Amino acid sequence: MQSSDLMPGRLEELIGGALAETESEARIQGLARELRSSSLPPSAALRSKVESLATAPRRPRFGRHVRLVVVVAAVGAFVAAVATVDTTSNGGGIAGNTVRAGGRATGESFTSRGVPPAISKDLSAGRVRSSDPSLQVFGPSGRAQDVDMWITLRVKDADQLSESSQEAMKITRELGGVVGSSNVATEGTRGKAELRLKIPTGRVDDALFRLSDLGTVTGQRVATVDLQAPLDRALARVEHLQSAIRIAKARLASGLLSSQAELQVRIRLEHLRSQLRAVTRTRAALAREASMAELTLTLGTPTGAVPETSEGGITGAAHKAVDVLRGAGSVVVFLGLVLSPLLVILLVVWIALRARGRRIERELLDESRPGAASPQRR
Amino acid sequence: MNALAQAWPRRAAVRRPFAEVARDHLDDVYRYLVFLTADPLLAEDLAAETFEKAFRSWKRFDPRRGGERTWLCQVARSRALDHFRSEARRRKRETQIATDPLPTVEPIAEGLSTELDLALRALTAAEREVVVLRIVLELSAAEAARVLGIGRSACSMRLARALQKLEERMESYAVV
Repeated sequence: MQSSDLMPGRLEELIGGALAETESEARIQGLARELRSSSLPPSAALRSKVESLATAPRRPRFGRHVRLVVVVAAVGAFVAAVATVDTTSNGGGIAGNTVRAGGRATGESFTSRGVPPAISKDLSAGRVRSSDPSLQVFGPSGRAQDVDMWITLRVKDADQLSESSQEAMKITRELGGVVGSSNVATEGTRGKAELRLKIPTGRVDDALFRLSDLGTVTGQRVATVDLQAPLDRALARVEHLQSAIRIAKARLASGLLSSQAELQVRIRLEHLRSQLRAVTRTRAALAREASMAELTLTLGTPTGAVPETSEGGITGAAHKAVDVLRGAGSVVVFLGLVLSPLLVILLVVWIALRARGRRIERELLDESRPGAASPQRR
Repeated sequence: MNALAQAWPRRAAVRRPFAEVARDHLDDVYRYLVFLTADPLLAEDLAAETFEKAFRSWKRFDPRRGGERTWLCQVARSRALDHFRSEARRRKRETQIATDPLPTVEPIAEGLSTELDLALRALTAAEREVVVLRIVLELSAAEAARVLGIGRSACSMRLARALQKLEERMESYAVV
Protein backbone atom coordinates (compact mmCIF):
# COMPACT_ATOMS: atom_id res chain seq x y z
CA MET A 1 0.00 0.00 0.00
CA GLN A 2 1.40 3.37 -1.03
CA SER A 3 1.12 6.46 1.13
CA SER A 4 -1.25 8.05 -1.39
CA ASP A 5 -3.65 5.20 -0.70
CA LEU A 6 -3.88 6.20 2.94
CA MET A 7 -6.93 8.07 4.06
CA PRO A 8 -6.10 11.65 5.01
CA GLY A 9 -7.20 11.00 8.56
CA ARG A 10 -4.89 8.01 8.89
CA LEU A 11 -2.01 9.98 7.40
CA GLU A 12 -2.60 12.69 9.98
CA GLU A 13 -2.53 10.09 12.73
CA LEU A 14 0.73 8.62 11.47
CA ILE A 15 2.32 12.06 11.29
CA GLY A 16 1.06 12.69 14.79
CA GLY A 17 2.86 9.56 16.03
CA ALA A 18 0.24 6.81 15.87
CA LEU A 19 1.47 3.21 15.87
CA ALA A 20 2.15 1.92 12.33
CA GLU A 21 0.09 -1.11 11.35
CA THR A 22 1.51 -1.85 7.94
CA GLU A 23 4.91 -1.83 6.34
CA SER A 24 4.00 1.23 4.28
CA GLU A 25 2.91 3.12 7.34
CA ALA A 26 6.14 2.14 9.04
CA ARG A 27 8.11 3.47 6.07
CA ILE A 28 6.24 6.75 6.25
CA GLN A 29 7.01 7.09 9.91
CA GLY A 30 10.62 6.24 9.24
CA LEU A 31 10.79 8.95 6.62
CA ALA A 32 9.24 11.45 8.98
CA ARG A 33 11.71 10.55 11.73
CA GLU A 34 14.67 10.92 9.41
CA LEU A 35 13.44 14.22 8.06
CA ARG A 36 12.84 15.58 11.54
CA SER A 37 16.22 14.46 12.76
CA SER A 38 17.99 16.33 10.01
CA SER A 39 20.16 19.14 11.26
CA LEU A 40 19.75 22.45 9.54
CA PRO A 41 21.23 25.19 11.64
CA PRO A 42 21.42 28.59 10.00
CA SER A 43 24.88 30.06 9.77
CA ALA A 44 26.18 32.34 12.48
CA ALA A 45 26.27 35.18 9.97
CA LEU A 46 22.57 34.83 9.23
CA ARG A 47 21.74 34.56 12.90
CA SER A 48 23.68 37.69 13.81
CA LYS A 49 22.22 39.53 10.82
CA VAL A 50 18.65 38.72 11.83
CA GLU A 51 19.31 39.55 15.46
CA SER A 52 20.85 42.91 14.59
CA LEU A 53 17.91 43.58 12.28
CA ALA A 54 15.39 42.79 14.97
CA THR A 55 17.04 45.04 17.53
CA ALA A 56 17.64 47.96 15.15
CA PRO A 57 15.52 51.07 15.76
CA ARG A 58 12.52 51.17 13.51
CA ARG A 59 12.80 53.81 10.86
CA PRO A 60 9.60 55.75 10.34
CA ARG A 61 8.07 55.28 6.94
CA PHE A 62 7.56 59.03 6.47
CA GLY A 63 9.89 61.83 7.41
CA ARG A 64 9.16 64.49 10.01
CA HIS A 65 8.36 67.13 7.41
CA VAL A 66 5.97 64.88 5.55
CA ARG A 67 4.16 64.02 8.75
CA LEU A 68 3.95 67.72 9.67
CA VAL A 69 2.47 68.59 6.29
CA VAL A 70 -0.05 65.75 6.59
CA VAL A 71 -1.11 66.88 10.07
CA VAL A 72 -1.51 70.51 8.95
CA ALA A 73 -3.48 69.44 5.87
CA ALA A 74 -5.71 67.21 7.99
CA VAL A 75 -6.41 70.02 10.47
CA GLY A 76 -7.13 72.41 7.61
CA ALA A 77 -9.49 69.95 5.97
CA PHE A 78 -11.26 69.41 9.29
CA VAL A 79 -11.72 73.14 9.88
CA ALA A 80 -13.00 73.62 6.33
CA ALA A 81 -15.42 70.74 6.75
CA VAL A 82 -16.71 72.12 10.06
CA ALA A 83 -17.14 75.57 8.53
CA THR A 84 -18.99 74.12 5.56
CA VAL A 85 -21.29 72.05 7.74
CA ASP A 86 -21.96 75.03 10.02
CA THR A 87 -22.78 77.29 7.10
CA THR A 88 -25.10 74.69 5.61
CA SER A 89 -26.88 73.94 8.86
CA ASN A 90 -27.48 77.64 9.57
CA GLY A 91 -29.25 78.08 6.29
CA GLY A 92 -26.23 79.69 4.75
CA GLY A 93 -25.23 82.24 7.42
CA ILE A 94 -24.64 85.56 5.70
CA ALA A 95 -25.03 83.87 2.38
CA GLY A 96 -28.32 82.47 3.65
CA ASN A 97 -29.63 85.94 4.41
CA THR A 98 -28.65 86.94 0.95
CA VAL A 99 -30.70 84.09 -0.44
CA ARG A 100 -33.59 85.04 1.75
CA ALA A 101 -33.38 88.47 0.22
CA GLY A 102 -33.68 87.08 -3.25
CA GLY A 103 -29.92 86.98 -3.78
CA ARG A 104 -29.45 90.69 -4.33
CA ALA A 105 -28.83 92.02 -0.86
CA THR A 106 -25.87 94.23 -0.26
CA GLY A 107 -26.95 96.72 2.36
CA GLU A 108 -25.97 96.11 5.94
CA SER A 109 -29.36 97.13 7.25
CA PHE A 110 -30.97 94.46 5.13
CA THR A 111 -28.57 91.66 5.74
CA SER A 112 -28.71 92.24 9.44
CA ARG A 113 -32.45 92.50 9.64
CA GLY A 114 -33.77 90.45 6.77
CA VAL A 115 -35.49 93.39 5.03
CA PRO A 116 -35.36 93.55 1.24
CA PRO A 117 -32.77 96.09 0.05
CA ALA A 118 -34.98 98.30 -2.06
CA ILE A 119 -37.43 98.71 0.76
CA SER A 120 -34.66 99.07 3.27
CA LYS A 121 -33.24 101.90 1.20
CA ASP A 122 -36.49 103.78 1.48
CA LEU A 123 -36.71 103.02 5.15
CA SER A 124 -33.18 104.10 5.84
CA ALA A 125 -34.02 107.50 4.38
CA GLY A 126 -36.16 108.02 7.42
CA ARG A 127 -39.81 108.70 7.83
CA VAL A 128 -41.01 112.25 7.66
CA ARG A 129 -44.15 114.05 8.64
CA SER A 130 -46.33 115.82 6.14
CA SER A 131 -48.43 118.87 6.88
CA ASP A 132 -50.84 116.57 8.67
CA PRO A 133 -49.32 115.62 12.02
CA SER A 134 -51.05 112.23 11.93
CA LEU A 135 -49.62 111.38 8.56
CA GLN A 136 -46.34 109.57 8.44
CA VAL A 137 -44.95 109.01 4.98
CA PHE A 138 -41.93 107.60 3.19
CA GLY A 139 -39.65 109.49 0.94
CA PRO A 140 -36.04 110.48 0.70
CA SER A 141 -37.09 114.09 0.31
CA GLY A 142 -39.60 113.92 3.11
CA ARG A 143 -42.56 113.86 0.77
CA ALA A 144 -45.79 111.99 1.24
CA GLN A 145 -45.93 108.95 -0.94
CA ASP A 146 -48.28 106.15 -1.81
CA VAL A 147 -46.24 103.00 -1.24
CA ASP A 148 -47.18 99.64 -2.72
CA MET A 149 -45.01 96.63 -1.95
CA TRP A 150 -45.01 93.06 -3.18
CA ILE A 151 -43.10 90.40 -1.33
CA THR A 152 -42.88 86.74 -2.35
CA LEU A 153 -41.95 84.16 0.22
CA ARG A 154 -41.21 80.50 -0.23
CA VAL A 155 -42.33 78.05 2.45
CA LYS A 156 -41.67 74.36 2.84
CA ASP A 157 -45.11 72.85 2.43
CA ALA A 158 -48.82 73.42 2.63
CA ASP A 159 -48.87 73.20 6.40
CA GLN A 160 -46.32 75.94 6.76
CA LEU A 161 -48.16 77.92 4.12
CA SER A 162 -51.29 77.99 6.25
CA GLU A 163 -49.34 78.75 9.40
CA SER A 164 -47.42 81.57 7.75
CA SER A 165 -50.60 83.06 6.29
CA GLN A 166 -52.24 83.08 9.69
CA GLU A 167 -49.15 84.57 11.24
CA ALA A 168 -48.99 87.33 8.59
CA MET A 169 -52.57 88.36 9.31
CA LYS A 170 -51.87 88.31 13.02
CA ILE A 171 -48.79 90.51 12.57
CA THR A 172 -50.80 92.93 10.45
CA ARG A 173 -53.44 93.31 13.10
CA GLU A 174 -50.90 93.67 15.86
CA LEU A 175 -49.28 96.52 13.99
CA GLY A 176 -52.57 98.33 13.58
CA GLY A 177 -53.07 97.38 9.99
CA VAL A 178 -55.88 95.62 8.22
CA VAL A 179 -56.10 92.61 5.99
CA GLY A 180 -57.59 93.78 2.73
CA SER A 181 -58.03 90.31 1.32
CA SER A 182 -56.62 86.86 1.68
CA ASN A 183 -56.62 83.97 -0.73
CA VAL A 184 -55.08 80.72 0.48
CA ALA A 185 -55.21 77.64 -1.72
CA THR A 186 -53.52 74.30 -1.05
CA GLU A 187 -53.49 71.05 -2.92
CA GLY A 188 -51.68 68.13 -1.38
CA THR A 189 -48.30 69.35 -0.28
CA ARG A 190 -48.33 72.36 -2.55
CA GLY A 191 -50.14 75.63 -2.22
CA LYS A 192 -50.20 79.35 -2.77
CA ALA A 193 -51.49 82.26 -0.75
CA GLU A 194 -51.94 85.92 -1.58
CA LEU A 195 -52.61 88.43 1.16
CA ARG A 196 -53.31 92.11 0.57
CA LEU A 197 -52.33 93.93 3.72
CA LYS A 198 -52.53 97.56 4.72
CA ILE A 199 -49.83 98.49 7.13
CA PRO A 200 -49.54 101.86 8.90
CA THR A 201 -46.71 103.76 7.30
CA GLY A 202 -45.03 104.19 10.62
CA ARG A 203 -45.00 100.43 11.22
CA VAL A 204 -43.86 99.25 7.83
CA ASP A 205 -40.34 98.78 9.14
CA ASP A 206 -41.53 96.35 11.81
CA ALA A 207 -43.91 94.62 9.43
CA LEU A 208 -41.23 93.87 6.87
CA PHE A 209 -38.92 92.61 9.54
CA ARG A 210 -41.47 90.22 10.96
CA LEU A 211 -43.02 89.08 7.69
CA SER A 212 -39.61 88.26 6.23
CA ASP A 213 -39.18 85.67 8.95
CA LEU A 214 -42.18 83.66 7.75
CA GLY A 215 -40.30 82.11 4.86
CA THR A 216 -37.52 82.60 2.37
CA VAL A 217 -37.76 85.84 0.46
CA THR A 218 -37.60 84.99 -3.21
CA GLY A 219 -38.74 88.29 -4.69
CA GLN A 220 -39.79 91.78 -3.83
CA ARG A 221 -40.94 94.97 -5.58
CA VAL A 222 -41.73 98.47 -4.43
CA ALA A 223 -43.76 101.09 -6.28
CA THR A 224 -44.16 104.63 -4.99
CA VAL A 225 -46.40 107.48 -6.20
CA ASP A 226 -45.70 111.01 -5.01
CA LEU A 227 -48.67 112.43 -3.05
CA GLN A 228 -46.98 115.51 -1.68
CA ALA A 229 -47.94 117.82 -4.55
CA PRO A 230 -51.66 116.96 -4.49
CA LEU A 231 -51.60 117.30 -0.73
CA ASP A 232 -49.94 120.70 -0.95
CA ARG A 233 -52.41 121.84 -3.57
CA ALA A 234 -55.29 120.65 -1.47
CA LEU A 235 -53.94 122.46 1.54
CA ALA A 236 -53.48 125.66 -0.43
CA ARG A 237 -56.98 125.31 -1.77
CA VAL A 238 -58.37 124.78 1.71
CA GLU A 239 -56.59 127.86 3.00
CA HIS A 240 -57.85 129.88 0.04
CA LEU A 241 -61.40 128.70 0.53
CA GLN A 242 -61.29 129.32 4.25
CA SER A 243 -60.04 132.84 3.59
CA ALA A 244 -62.76 133.46 1.05
CA ILE A 245 -65.36 132.14 3.51
CA ARG A 246 -64.07 134.46 6.21
CA ILE A 247 -64.33 137.46 3.82
CA ALA A 248 -67.82 136.52 2.76
CA LYS A 249 -68.88 136.18 6.37
CA ALA A 250 -67.39 139.61 7.16
CA ARG A 251 -69.28 141.25 4.28
CA LEU A 252 -72.52 139.74 5.49
CA ALA A 253 -71.84 140.86 9.00
CA SER A 254 -71.16 144.47 7.94
CA GLY A 255 -74.86 145.19 7.16
CA LEU A 256 -73.90 147.48 4.28
CA LEU A 257 -75.00 145.15 1.53
CA SER A 258 -78.16 145.58 -0.37
CA SER A 259 -80.59 142.74 -0.27
CA GLN A 260 -79.60 141.58 -3.75
CA ALA A 261 -75.86 141.81 -2.96
CA GLU A 262 -76.43 139.99 0.33
CA LEU A 263 -78.15 137.20 -1.53
CA GLN A 264 -75.25 136.90 -3.98
CA VAL A 265 -72.76 136.79 -1.07
CA ARG A 266 -74.75 134.10 0.71
CA ILE A 267 -74.86 132.01 -2.46
CA ARG A 268 -71.12 132.42 -2.91
CA LEU A 269 -70.54 131.52 0.73
CA GLU A 270 -72.47 128.34 0.33
CA HIS A 271 -70.55 127.52 -2.80
CA LEU A 272 -67.27 128.13 -0.98
CA ARG A 273 -68.32 125.91 1.88
CA SER A 274 -69.24 123.18 -0.57
CA GLN A 275 -65.86 123.46 -2.27
CA LEU A 276 -64.12 123.41 1.09
CA ARG A 277 -65.87 120.19 2.04
CA ALA A 278 -64.88 118.56 -1.24
CA VAL A 279 -61.26 119.65 -0.97
CA THR A 280 -61.14 118.54 2.63
CA ARG A 281 -62.44 115.12 1.63
CA THR A 282 -59.84 114.84 -1.13
CA ARG A 283 -57.11 115.87 1.23
CA ALA A 284 -58.28 113.37 3.84
CA ALA A 285 -58.32 110.63 1.22
CA LEU A 286 -54.76 111.50 0.18
CA ALA A 287 -53.66 111.53 3.77
CA ARG A 288 -55.25 108.13 4.36
CA GLU A 289 -53.58 106.74 1.30
CA ALA A 290 -50.21 108.01 2.42
CA SER A 291 -50.72 106.84 5.97
CA MET A 292 -51.19 103.21 4.99
CA ALA A 293 -48.81 101.23 2.84
CA GLU A 294 -50.30 98.48 0.76
CA LEU A 295 -48.39 95.25 0.96
CA THR A 296 -49.13 92.24 -1.22
CA LEU A 297 -47.66 89.17 0.38
CA THR A 298 -47.44 86.06 -1.78
CA LEU A 299 -46.51 82.76 -0.20
CA GLY A 300 -45.84 79.62 -2.19
CA THR A 301 -44.42 76.15 -1.80
CA PRO A 302 -41.64 74.97 -4.06
CA THR A 303 -42.67 72.83 -7.00
CA GLY A 304 -42.71 69.13 -6.09
CA ALA A 305 -42.32 69.80 -2.40
CA VAL A 306 -42.27 66.72 -0.24
CA PRO A 307 -44.43 66.89 2.85
CA GLU A 308 -42.41 67.05 5.98
CA THR A 309 -43.84 65.64 9.15
CA SER A 310 -44.29 68.13 11.86
CA GLU A 311 -44.91 65.61 14.59
CA GLY A 312 -42.75 65.88 17.60
CA GLY A 313 -41.42 63.23 19.92
CA ILE A 314 -40.90 59.64 18.91
CA THR A 315 -43.30 59.75 15.93
CA GLY A 316 -41.58 62.75 14.44
CA ALA A 317 -38.16 61.27 15.01
CA ALA A 318 -39.28 58.01 13.45
CA HIS A 319 -40.65 59.80 10.39
CA LYS A 320 -37.44 61.77 10.04
CA ALA A 321 -35.40 58.60 10.38
CA VAL A 322 -37.52 56.93 7.70
CA ASP A 323 -37.03 59.93 5.44
CA VAL A 324 -33.27 59.84 5.98
CA LEU A 325 -33.19 56.10 5.32
CA ARG A 326 -35.31 56.56 2.21
CA GLY A 327 -32.89 59.18 0.94
CA ALA A 328 -29.90 57.01 1.75
CA GLY A 329 -31.59 54.05 0.10
CA SER A 330 -32.16 56.05 -3.06
CA VAL A 331 -28.51 57.01 -3.13
CA VAL A 332 -27.46 53.40 -2.57
CA VAL A 333 -29.75 52.12 -5.32
CA PHE A 334 -28.49 54.78 -7.69
CA LEU A 335 -24.88 54.01 -6.90
CA GLY A 336 -25.59 50.31 -7.17
CA LEU A 337 -27.10 50.71 -10.61
CA VAL A 338 -24.23 52.89 -11.77
CA LEU A 339 -21.42 51.00 -10.12
CA SER A 340 -22.60 47.41 -10.37
CA PRO A 341 -21.30 46.85 -13.93
CA LEU A 342 -17.98 48.32 -12.90
CA LEU A 343 -17.90 46.13 -9.80
CA VAL A 344 -18.66 43.03 -11.84
CA ILE A 345 -15.84 43.88 -14.23
CA LEU A 346 -13.48 44.49 -11.34
CA LEU A 347 -14.51 41.19 -9.74
CA VAL A 348 -13.92 39.28 -12.97
CA VAL A 349 -10.54 40.97 -13.43
CA TRP A 350 -9.62 40.18 -9.84
CA ILE A 351 -10.61 36.53 -10.21
CA ALA A 352 -8.71 36.26 -13.48
CA LEU A 353 -5.60 37.86 -12.00
CA ARG A 354 -5.81 35.60 -8.96
CA ALA A 355 -6.17 32.50 -11.10
CA ARG A 356 -3.26 33.60 -13.26
CA GLY A 357 -1.14 34.25 -10.18
CA ARG A 358 -1.97 30.80 -8.83
CA ARG A 359 -1.17 29.17 -12.14
CA ILE A 360 2.20 30.93 -12.38
CA GLU A 361 2.92 30.06 -8.77
CA ARG A 362 2.09 26.41 -9.41
CA GLU A 363 4.28 26.34 -12.46
CA LEU A 364 7.15 27.87 -10.55
CA LEU A 365 6.84 25.46 -7.67
CA ASP A 366 6.20 22.39 -9.80
CA GLU A 367 9.59 22.78 -11.38
CA SER A 368 12.18 20.81 -9.52
CA ARG A 369 15.12 23.07 -8.81
CA PRO A 370 17.76 21.12 -7.00
CA GLY A 371 20.75 23.32 -6.46
CA ALA A 372 19.32 26.34 -8.27
CA ALA A 373 21.97 28.99 -8.33
CA SER A 374 21.66 31.58 -5.63
CA PRO A 375 22.42 35.23 -6.32
CA GLN A 376 25.61 35.04 -4.30
CA ARG A 377 26.94 32.07 -6.18
CA ARG A 378 26.23 33.57 -9.56
CA MET B 1 -19.52 34.28 32.56
CA ASN B 2 -16.48 32.18 31.81
CA ALA B 3 -18.29 30.46 28.95
CA LEU B 4 -19.28 33.83 27.60
CA ALA B 5 -15.75 35.12 27.90
CA GLN B 6 -14.45 32.06 26.11
CA ALA B 7 -17.04 32.28 23.36
CA TRP B 8 -16.42 35.97 22.81
CA PRO B 9 -13.48 36.55 20.48
CA ARG B 10 -10.52 38.34 21.92
CA ARG B 11 -10.43 41.94 20.85
CA ALA B 12 -6.72 42.32 20.72
CA ALA B 13 -4.14 39.59 20.94
CA VAL B 14 -0.75 40.26 22.45
CA ARG B 15 2.05 40.78 19.94
CA ARG B 16 5.51 39.88 21.13
CA PRO B 17 8.61 41.94 20.39
CA PHE B 18 9.99 41.09 16.95
CA ALA B 19 13.43 40.26 18.37
CA GLU B 20 11.95 37.41 20.40
CA VAL B 21 9.94 36.13 17.45
CA ALA B 22 12.98 36.20 15.17
CA ARG B 23 15.07 34.35 17.71
CA ASP B 24 12.42 31.67 18.25
CA HIS B 25 11.56 31.00 14.61
CA LEU B 26 14.76 31.63 12.67
CA ASP B 27 15.62 27.94 12.57
CA ASP B 28 12.17 26.92 11.34
CA VAL B 29 12.02 29.56 8.63
CA TYR B 30 15.49 28.65 7.46
CA ARG B 31 14.62 24.96 7.35
CA TYR B 32 11.48 25.69 5.40
CA LEU B 33 13.44 27.69 2.85
CA VAL B 34 16.16 25.06 2.56
CA PHE B 35 13.63 22.38 1.75
CA LEU B 36 11.70 24.65 -0.57
CA THR B 37 14.72 25.72 -2.60
CA ALA B 38 16.90 22.66 -2.00
CA ASP B 39 19.76 25.10 -1.70
CA PRO B 40 21.12 26.07 1.72
CA LEU B 41 23.00 29.13 0.45
CA LEU B 42 19.98 30.49 -1.39
CA ALA B 43 17.91 29.73 1.68
CA GLU B 44 20.24 31.90 3.78
CA ASP B 45 19.76 34.83 1.43
CA LEU B 46 16.02 34.37 1.36
CA ALA B 47 15.84 33.96 5.13
CA ALA B 48 17.63 37.27 5.62
CA GLU B 49 15.26 38.94 3.17
CA THR B 50 12.31 37.30 4.85
CA PHE B 51 13.16 38.65 8.29
CA GLU B 52 13.91 42.07 6.87
CA LYS B 53 10.50 42.20 5.24
CA ALA B 54 8.82 40.73 8.31
CA PHE B 55 10.46 43.36 10.51
CA ARG B 56 9.14 46.14 8.27
CA SER B 57 5.61 44.77 8.27
CA TRP B 58 5.51 43.45 11.83
CA LYS B 59 2.80 45.98 12.69
CA ARG B 60 0.51 44.33 10.18
CA PHE B 61 0.81 40.93 11.81
CA ASP B 62 -2.49 39.93 13.38
CA PRO B 63 -2.07 37.13 15.96
CA ARG B 64 -5.79 36.31 15.69
CA ARG B 65 -5.39 35.20 12.09
CA GLY B 66 -2.59 32.73 12.68
CA GLY B 67 0.56 31.98 14.57
CA GLU B 68 3.85 33.81 14.25
CA ARG B 69 5.51 30.86 12.55
CA THR B 70 2.71 30.53 10.01
CA TRP B 71 2.96 34.22 9.20
CA LEU B 72 6.75 34.06 8.85
CA CYS B 73 6.46 31.05 6.56
CA GLN B 74 3.99 32.96 4.41
CA VAL B 75 6.44 35.84 4.15
CA ALA B 76 9.26 33.43 3.36
CA ARG B 77 7.18 31.73 0.69
CA SER B 78 6.40 35.08 -0.90
CA ARG B 79 10.10 35.91 -1.02
CA ALA B 80 10.94 32.53 -2.48
CA LEU B 81 8.29 32.87 -5.16
CA ASP B 82 9.65 36.30 -6.06
CA HIS B 83 13.07 34.73 -6.38
CA PHE B 84 11.74 31.88 -8.53
CA ARG B 85 10.01 34.36 -10.79
CA SER B 86 13.10 36.48 -11.31
CA GLU B 87 15.17 33.32 -11.76
CA ALA B 88 12.75 32.03 -14.39
CA ARG B 89 12.98 35.32 -16.27
CA ARG B 90 16.76 35.27 -16.05
CA ARG B 91 17.00 31.73 -17.32
CA LYS B 92 14.62 32.43 -20.15
CA ARG B 93 16.79 35.39 -21.14
CA GLU B 94 20.02 33.50 -20.95
CA THR B 95 18.88 30.18 -22.42
CA GLN B 96 19.59 31.31 -25.95
CA ILE B 97 23.24 32.24 -25.32
CA ALA B 98 24.39 29.89 -22.64
CA THR B 99 23.38 26.92 -20.57
CA ASP B 100 23.11 26.97 -16.85
CA PRO B 101 26.15 25.70 -15.01
CA LEU B 102 25.73 22.28 -13.46
CA PRO B 103 24.13 22.65 -10.10
CA THR B 104 26.34 22.07 -7.12
CA VAL B 105 25.46 18.90 -5.29
CA GLU B 106 25.39 19.98 -1.72
CA PRO B 107 23.34 18.04 0.84
CA ILE B 108 20.10 19.70 1.73
CA ALA B 109 20.60 18.96 5.36
CA GLU B 110 23.02 17.14 7.58
CA GLY B 111 21.83 13.79 8.88
CA LEU B 112 19.84 12.81 5.81
CA SER B 113 20.71 9.60 3.99
CA THR B 114 21.94 9.97 0.45
CA GLU B 115 18.81 8.25 -0.87
CA LEU B 116 16.52 10.62 0.98
CA ASP B 117 18.58 13.63 -0.09
CA LEU B 118 18.41 12.56 -3.74
CA ALA B 119 14.74 11.71 -3.45
CA LEU B 120 14.00 15.13 -1.97
CA ARG B 121 15.82 16.78 -4.87
CA ALA B 122 13.68 14.81 -7.28
CA LEU B 123 10.52 16.34 -5.82
CA THR B 124 9.15 19.60 -7.05
CA ALA B 125 9.37 22.65 -4.85
CA ALA B 126 5.64 22.42 -4.21
CA GLU B 127 6.04 18.85 -2.95
CA ARG B 128 9.08 19.64 -0.87
CA GLU B 129 7.38 22.57 0.82
CA VAL B 130 4.36 20.54 1.90
CA VAL B 131 6.72 17.90 3.31
CA VAL B 132 8.74 20.42 5.26
CA LEU B 133 5.68 22.21 6.58
CA ARG B 134 3.83 19.09 7.70
CA ILE B 135 6.66 16.71 8.59
CA VAL B 136 9.70 18.79 9.53
CA LEU B 137 8.07 21.88 11.03
CA GLU B 138 5.07 19.84 12.22
CA LEU B 139 2.53 22.48 11.32
CA SER B 140 -1.09 21.41 11.56
CA ALA B 141 -3.02 20.81 8.36
CA ALA B 142 -4.84 24.11 8.79
CA GLU B 143 -1.63 26.06 9.33
CA ALA B 144 0.11 24.46 6.37
CA ALA B 145 -2.92 25.08 4.17
CA ARG B 146 -2.87 28.73 5.21
CA VAL B 147 0.79 29.07 4.26
CA LEU B 148 0.23 27.36 0.92
CA GLY B 149 -2.96 29.27 0.20
CA ILE B 150 -4.97 26.13 -0.51
CA GLY B 151 -7.63 24.12 1.25
CA ARG B 152 -6.93 21.50 3.92
CA SER B 153 -7.95 18.56 1.76
CA ALA B 154 -5.78 19.78 -1.10
CA CYS B 155 -2.92 20.11 1.35
CA SER B 156 -3.42 16.55 2.57
CA MET B 157 -3.60 15.24 -0.98
CA ARG B 158 -0.44 17.07 -1.91
CA LEU B 159 1.34 15.64 1.10
CA ALA B 160 0.21 12.10 0.27
CA ARG B 161 1.43 12.47 -3.31
CA ALA B 162 4.75 13.88 -2.15
CA LEU B 163 5.30 11.07 0.28
CA GLN B 164 4.42 8.47 -2.34
CA LYS B 165 6.89 10.03 -4.73
CA LEU B 166 9.49 10.17 -2.02
CA GLU B 167 9.00 6.48 -1.24
CA GLU B 168 9.22 5.51 -4.89
CA ARG B 169 12.39 7.51 -5.43
CA MET B 170 14.01 6.13 -2.34
CA GLU B 171 13.18 2.59 -3.41
CA SER B 172 14.63 3.15 -6.85
CA TYR B 173 17.81 4.69 -5.41
CA ALA B 174 18.14 1.82 -2.93
CA VAL B 175 17.89 -0.73 -5.78
CA VAL B 176 20.59 1.10 -7.71
